[in-house]
Amino acid sequence: MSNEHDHEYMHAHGIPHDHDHDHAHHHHEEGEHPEHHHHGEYHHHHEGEGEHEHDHAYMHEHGIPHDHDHDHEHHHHEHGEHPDHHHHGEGHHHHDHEGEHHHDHDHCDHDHCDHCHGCEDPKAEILALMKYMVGHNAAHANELATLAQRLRETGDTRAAEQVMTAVTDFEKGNMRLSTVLAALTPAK
Amino acid sequence: MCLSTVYKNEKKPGNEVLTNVMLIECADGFVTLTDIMGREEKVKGAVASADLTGGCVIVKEAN
Repeated sequence: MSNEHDHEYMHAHGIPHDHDHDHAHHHHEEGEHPEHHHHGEYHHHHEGEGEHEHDHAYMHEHGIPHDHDHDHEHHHHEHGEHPDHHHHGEGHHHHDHEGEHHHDHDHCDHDHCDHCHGCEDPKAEILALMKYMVGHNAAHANELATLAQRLRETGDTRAAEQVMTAVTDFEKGNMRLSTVLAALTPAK
Repeated sequence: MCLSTVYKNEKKPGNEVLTNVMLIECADGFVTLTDIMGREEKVKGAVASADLTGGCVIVKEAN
């Protein structure tokens, strides 16, 4: 009594079995299936003997390693997305495959041809700007205190005191920013 | 004193070369801009104007 099952039977019932072939993967136009059978919603097709192909979408879906066999040329994907056309927050980047890329940044309205701007972690830039501004505010507070002193020297004590009150408030605000900055800064 | 936005030829949307610029160097017919993140942009030309209170610098592009 033979335990052999028909190939299709094994696929249909999920019976593990070998495909006696070299597992060559070929690119093909999706929708082109000269000899195919179905695994759920995906298509496989066999071409002759010993060769086996997975549908491209199937390979992506199941994490099957495969090459995108192109030489940096435009490649139209029909998966509803283009791997080189991606969004970074509000920025809109276009990368082509010819050694240079153009970036269109909606937030700054300029194109780049020779380098990547805005691809870095946006939080790092926010932190850098905050750090700059906290330092900048401290410098301004000192300048205002100098102005208060000069007002005092002119005899306008009242105005000098009002400016110094403003400086104190300014420094309080900056201290608050500094606290936020410290909380946001990753520990080293 | 403040960080600047550098424009090419004219201050108008679309002409921005780099924002948050903290350093501008001019040498050999090029203006090199560096922003707060250390990113650089190089423009062939010269600084036409720098509004330091407005944080706006115009670079005239050379042909």
